[in-house]
Amino acid sequence: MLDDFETELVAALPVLRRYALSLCRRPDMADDLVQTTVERAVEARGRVEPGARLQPWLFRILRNAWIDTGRRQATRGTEIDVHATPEAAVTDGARATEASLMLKQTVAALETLPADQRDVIVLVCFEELTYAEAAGVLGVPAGTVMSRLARGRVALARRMGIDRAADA
Amino acid sequence: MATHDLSDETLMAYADGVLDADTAAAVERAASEDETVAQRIALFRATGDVLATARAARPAEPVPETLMARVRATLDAARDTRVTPFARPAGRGAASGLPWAPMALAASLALAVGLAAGLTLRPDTAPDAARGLAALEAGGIAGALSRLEAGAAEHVAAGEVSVISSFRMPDGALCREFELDTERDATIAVACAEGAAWNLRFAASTGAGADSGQSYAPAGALEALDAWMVSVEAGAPLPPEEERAALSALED
Repeated sequence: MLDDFETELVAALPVLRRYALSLCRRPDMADDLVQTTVERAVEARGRVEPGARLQPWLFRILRNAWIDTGRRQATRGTEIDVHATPEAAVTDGARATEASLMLKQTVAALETLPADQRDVIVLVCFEELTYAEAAGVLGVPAGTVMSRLARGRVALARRMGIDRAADA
Repeated sequence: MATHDLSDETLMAYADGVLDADTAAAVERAASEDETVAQRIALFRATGDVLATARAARPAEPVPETLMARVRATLDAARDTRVTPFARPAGRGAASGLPWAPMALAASLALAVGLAAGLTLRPDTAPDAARGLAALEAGGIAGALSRLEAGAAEHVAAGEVSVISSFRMPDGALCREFELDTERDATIAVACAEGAAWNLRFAASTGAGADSGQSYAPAGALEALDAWMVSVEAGAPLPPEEERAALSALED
């Protein structure tokens, strides 16, 4: 039987694993990162702020675990997972095709961005964290998250040809 | 690029719909007066839309069973170390020849067991004291138990700890009966030393909270404790000098 903390932790596992995959790209390593995250989260559960969302806190633990592995340097920052098979889980044919095409193009464009900009785009635009939550995950001020995110999105627009207005 | 001295960050926050009303109104005014501002907002909206569409194509896959098994094992192990569950008294009941009314005691013990189970399984919904007890170390209770003589009280993170008495189990383990009072409720409990750590062995609410509106019956707590003491063959309370010696031996 699970308590509320454990229930929420287990419910967050798929999202944690997806984030781990976006960092390291390797399923086996992603699983290890998630497992390490669970261990550290259980140890530190007394320090969870009451009322705060658990997910950003778990992301921060996971990201720190990732940094601890020393792999970040080896792979030059955040890598977006393009090898997972998202199509399999989406059933709406036309929309799925459009969306997965968009995903591939977006991921390709993100790969060209500096790692710190990619990090915040993944957290805010993909994982739907608030600016403040992303700041907590990355351990930087919210203003830094916002400037990285704005610069990243301007660059992304340029790369993807959606910057009709950007050069005006 | 943004004239009107509105930063990209502000225009992005506007496009993302997270600006406060006053600033948002200022952005709208600027956008209506200055086409470059409007275009900048459109750029952030467009990237937001593209990223949202891409997001929809990256659902989180189910967690592999091997990982799930590892996580379960971690949670189980953590639960075992977090609190020692209520130790069901051995040899209790008619066979042990205890003089009291079995039915009332059984009810009291059931309540105590329920509370102890609450400690283990649902610390977030358990009474304040129970939550404090769920982490003897973190709540500062363990430290108080190692320091205080019987009759002394100390305020720690978890609440007010008052040590009632010290006694030994048949195996020689030092145990301490104590009360934990929080603003909302009160609990009487027993913890026993194991090496440098204190393990919770018994807990029952005495329901002293001013307006806690508790639904469990507090009246049976002391009787339940007495019954538990007898059933585990707890020794008599240690005299002060023996208690002091026992406590200082803990520090070694």
